[in-house]
Amino acid sequence: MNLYTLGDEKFEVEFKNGAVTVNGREAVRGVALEQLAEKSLLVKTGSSVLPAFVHREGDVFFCWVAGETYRICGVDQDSAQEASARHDAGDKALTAPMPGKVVKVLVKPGDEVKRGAKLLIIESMKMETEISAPRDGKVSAVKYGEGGVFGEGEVLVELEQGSK
Amino acid sequence: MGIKKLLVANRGEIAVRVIKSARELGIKCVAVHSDIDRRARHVLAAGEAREIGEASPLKSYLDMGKIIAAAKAAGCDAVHPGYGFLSENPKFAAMVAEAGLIFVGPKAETITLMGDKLASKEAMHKAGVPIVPFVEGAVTAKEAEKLGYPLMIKAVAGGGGKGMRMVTGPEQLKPAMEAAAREAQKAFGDDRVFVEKCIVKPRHIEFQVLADSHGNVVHLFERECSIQRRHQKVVEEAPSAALAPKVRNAMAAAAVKAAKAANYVNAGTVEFIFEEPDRFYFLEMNTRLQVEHPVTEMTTGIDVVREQLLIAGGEKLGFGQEDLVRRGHAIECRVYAENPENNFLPSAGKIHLFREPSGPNIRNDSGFGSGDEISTYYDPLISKLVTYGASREEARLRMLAALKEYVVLGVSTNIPFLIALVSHPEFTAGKTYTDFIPKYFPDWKPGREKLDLALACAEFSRAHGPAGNARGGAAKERSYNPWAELGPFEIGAGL
Repeated sequence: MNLYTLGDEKFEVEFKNGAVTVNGREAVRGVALEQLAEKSLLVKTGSSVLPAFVHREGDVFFCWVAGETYRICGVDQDSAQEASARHDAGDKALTAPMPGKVVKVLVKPGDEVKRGAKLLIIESMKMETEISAPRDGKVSAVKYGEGGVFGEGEVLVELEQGSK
Repeated sequence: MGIKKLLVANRGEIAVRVIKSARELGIKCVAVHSDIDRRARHVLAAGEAREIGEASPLKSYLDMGKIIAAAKAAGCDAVHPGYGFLSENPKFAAMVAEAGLIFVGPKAETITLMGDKLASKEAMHKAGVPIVPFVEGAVTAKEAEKLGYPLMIKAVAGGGGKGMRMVTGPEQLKPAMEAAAREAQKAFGDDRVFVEKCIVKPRHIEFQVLADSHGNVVHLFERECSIQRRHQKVVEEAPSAALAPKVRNAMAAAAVKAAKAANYVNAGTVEFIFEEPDRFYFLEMNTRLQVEHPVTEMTTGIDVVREQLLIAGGEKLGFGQEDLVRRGHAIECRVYAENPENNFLPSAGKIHLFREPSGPNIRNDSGFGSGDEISTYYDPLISKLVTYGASREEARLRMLAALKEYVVLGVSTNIPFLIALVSHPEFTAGKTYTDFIPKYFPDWKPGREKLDLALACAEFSRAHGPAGNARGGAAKERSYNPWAELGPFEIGAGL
């Protein structure tokens, strides 16, 4: 049994005797997988034969099965707790999804903002994008001024939970 | 005179595409590349390459001096700009000419005229081509009211959707003007904007024209490019399902008239806004090769890049309007490295596995392959998948099958979204308007039919896969797809 995540969702997966069990539910039966070449698999279920491709990079499994693509994270049980701790710490910080530049700062520390309020305008890959508040809260820090250049994953704005 | 050696001042799929046609004409090719593109596909395709600077486009692909110096040093006699980058920069066209090289495109003054959205509209209006009513510069509330909401703010120097904003009410006018001006300043170095009436339920229909330096102008019929997301085209096709023969002829005549009025030379595209059943307005003229030119090539049998190179070499068009016949239907889907589950944000990283669809009447113009990096510095277009069929439905079904065969592992792509789009009943019915994506796919999420099997594959790989890359990549892994770990905030909410 191993744990995987897809976005925010968790999946406990067991693949035994041709049966795929996901979160305790038997999802598919009679599955046979065969390695055809590096990264290339054959998926047989009953009389259906499907091509699949898998590339593993660290904990990430990039899987393509018959026209659908998934980016599945394989959670290592040891590092799962660590990751969860990291997620908690990052909870109040809004981080940069990609490198870019701050075009306009629309809030200042101390501002109370509503969910959806515009916080920043950033520019990346030649496009301007608005950064909005994911929830109600109080701005505790704005890390970059206008024209500030940030890297991927850097904290842009810190947002405290609202008083409630 | 004919071109003997061509410098291709671009990267990605279009550079590869241009090199292919040049090769067929016996023209030698030279690629230019930034430091991170040392091993890019266009470099491999050209066979001769010159490094022109750092990854940032301003320091490489937009550095006119370096590109011209590279062309001279390599003994080239011509420069093809591709699309994007310097393709519609009149200064570059002029510098190329001054350096004694052939610019594969129209004259600098034509680019200047057509690059100025206002001057071009005025010129077209004068030539008798219909235009949409507009107001220049900071529009007053009264003027805006007179034009009538919704309005569209556009950059005078615009293109590619940059510096463009839709305004549905007076309260949005000022912030939208500001944002458009800022974006325009950054994208084009020119912050002038204008406001025009927004045509409700429009289609975007454009005509490909070819003009030689001997005064001959032909059109290669229309392309419909109504399926757009944030003013970027996503799906294009030829012919348009909306045009009756009479209005098609009228638009074609207007396109040829527009090209003649501008003393146009080389390949160009006259874009129209089309309102059913038969009203059309000149939108702009693109003075370069268009991204979507393959659908024209598939349906007319004309290689547009080949014609560009022949025209630039001084030759006369080898055919007249009456020689041109269009057959069948072609559809193009732009495959982007972006995450449709996360507001279509670009997805950078390494392509670990790349398998293109193939088969009769399937064409994939690609600039990447397995092992290549998609960089945040450049446009996230991976390839243009084009299918041809005797009928629209045949081309559509072929597209659907091809998309389902297309494997890209490592970066997120819009392929699942394209599959949903091409499967949509309104698309199937040919009811394609520019609001198609926001209207039918506001919060689209991919299906998960094969998730259980994908999990089984992951589990199988974990147990049986090569251990080589299984460890030690964890820290690095985070950089592969930043969007998947976006965390708790929204980008572009409310757009």
